[in-house]
Amino acid sequence: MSSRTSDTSSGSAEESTQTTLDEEKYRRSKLKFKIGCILISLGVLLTLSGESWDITNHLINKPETFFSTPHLMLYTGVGVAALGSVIMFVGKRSFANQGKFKLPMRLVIIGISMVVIAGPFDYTWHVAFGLDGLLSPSHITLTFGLFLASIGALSGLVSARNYSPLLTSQKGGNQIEQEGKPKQSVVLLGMDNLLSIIGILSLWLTATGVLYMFSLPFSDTQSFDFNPDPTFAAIFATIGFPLLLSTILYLSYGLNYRFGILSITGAAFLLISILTTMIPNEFLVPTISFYFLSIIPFVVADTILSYSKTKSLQYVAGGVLGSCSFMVYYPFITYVYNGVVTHTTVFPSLIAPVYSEIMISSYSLLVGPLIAAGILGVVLGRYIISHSKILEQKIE
Amino acid sequence: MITASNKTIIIAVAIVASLTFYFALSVFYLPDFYQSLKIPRPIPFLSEVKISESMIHFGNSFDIEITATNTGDSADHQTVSVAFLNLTQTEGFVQITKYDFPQSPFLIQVGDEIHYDYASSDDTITAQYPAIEAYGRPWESNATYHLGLKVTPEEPGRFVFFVKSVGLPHTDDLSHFPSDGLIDYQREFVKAYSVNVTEP
Repeated sequence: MSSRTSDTSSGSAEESTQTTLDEEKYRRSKLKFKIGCILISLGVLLTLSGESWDITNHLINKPETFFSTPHLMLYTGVGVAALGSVIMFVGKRSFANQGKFKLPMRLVIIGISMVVIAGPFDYTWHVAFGLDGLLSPSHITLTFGLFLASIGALSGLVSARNYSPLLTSQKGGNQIEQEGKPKQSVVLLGMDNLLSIIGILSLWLTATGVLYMFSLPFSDTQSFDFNPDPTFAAIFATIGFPLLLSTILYLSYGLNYRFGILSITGAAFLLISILTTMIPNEFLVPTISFYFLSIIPFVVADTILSYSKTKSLQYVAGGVLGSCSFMVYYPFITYVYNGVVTHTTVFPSLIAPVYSEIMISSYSLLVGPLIAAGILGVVLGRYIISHSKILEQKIE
Repeated sequence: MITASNKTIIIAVAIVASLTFYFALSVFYLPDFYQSLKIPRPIPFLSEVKISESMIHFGNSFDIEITATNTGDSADHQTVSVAFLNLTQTEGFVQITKYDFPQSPFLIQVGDEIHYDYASSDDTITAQYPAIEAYGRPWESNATYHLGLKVTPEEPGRFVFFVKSVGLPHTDDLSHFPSDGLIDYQREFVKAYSVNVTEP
């Protein structure tokens, strides 16, 4: 009897040791995977910030070299993202249940491959056709690659956050909210919130890059004129920018369900915009403090979403976010609407006055569609969150 | 003690007040403020336009040397333009011998669509004669650049060329040089120079 008892306790000690080892292995893999995801997001952030700064330097005609600071940021960002994809891959291989990580990993591999291919492609394009504009086949390859990689990194982060093969319950912070019942996650730590902000920001910046490509008139070169039609660009921007702003900020809230995350994400976007598009242009420096006031609608939307979970109030938050997109996408938005409203040559020193002319003459006409697109952004955000949860459960 | 309904009211009032402040500022105050911001006032000045010969034999060349300055605020874009009324093209007839501008020059050919009326809008006009446009983007305040050209007239007779400089943004009459005189097809003031080209 005593011997049997001893055997049982020895067996359970072995099981316990095995479980501890598994747990340790799992933790290490998860950490590697998350580090990989976050490096990809940081790399994408760095690349897009460098790109944005580079566009500003082109606008103000700063002499450009291969090793200019924005270019170095861009190259470093690509390197960091590529390194992140390798670490993510190593981390993913150690997971017992790899199914739910397949999609993020695939997106990252495709995205980073496109980014790496875009380098020599861009060089070849330059050699063949001279200087290129914002919209060119190589730039599309780069931006869509970054876009896919940032989606992969963000979904990888969310999947890793909610995943534990040793827990019977797989419910994490990414729970679908129920109408009228605000849910605050108890699983999430501050670090996870921070990581999700970085992941969301990189996605926001890449998606913004895609929208800029098809709306800004910066693509008329000696060999090709890829500039979008001004009317198309204005309509595209009127729908696209508020839709993106609202969807992204709703996701930043919906992935965390915590007050403050949406505001921090929005503030970080404003800060990046200030650093890369306004500070390099001395004529925009006096407008920085006013630009940063766009934090107000972000905090308001954050408050509404956190305070009440009723659908109608969520749409109100979307409308608020949509209506401020014209201010949030300053200064580049000036070039989009100039094509249909002011028809002037927007020199770097004239951006603020031309923007104000457009604001006076057209904002009252734009605000309706902006609000509608903002509401649509919340609908899309809700769909993405609920759909990704369903997808996750199916994989499991 | 704040009740739940009082809390809701306080939050609602705070939201409405914040949004009212934000949109009132953005839509009513900021446009005026942005338009009151100082717009740079470049003042282009051609301190020297030197022509090596006033008369040459057909088949020979003469030199033009131009010294251009911006005596006003830094310009986003400032041009120095030399247009050749008796040439059909610049290639083979005009050679750049000296050039220290920050950007390479534009060569304007007959039929090109170019901005006019001091480039205040996106509208363009068709070029009637060839020209060389040197420019600085930006052209800093008090910066001076030089342009040297060797010109070989295409045929004998009076060889005429126009010289002008325009600072952008074009703020007032001081933003172009000269500020009066002849007006070219771009509706901009020009200084006319000529060289007699005689039969050999």
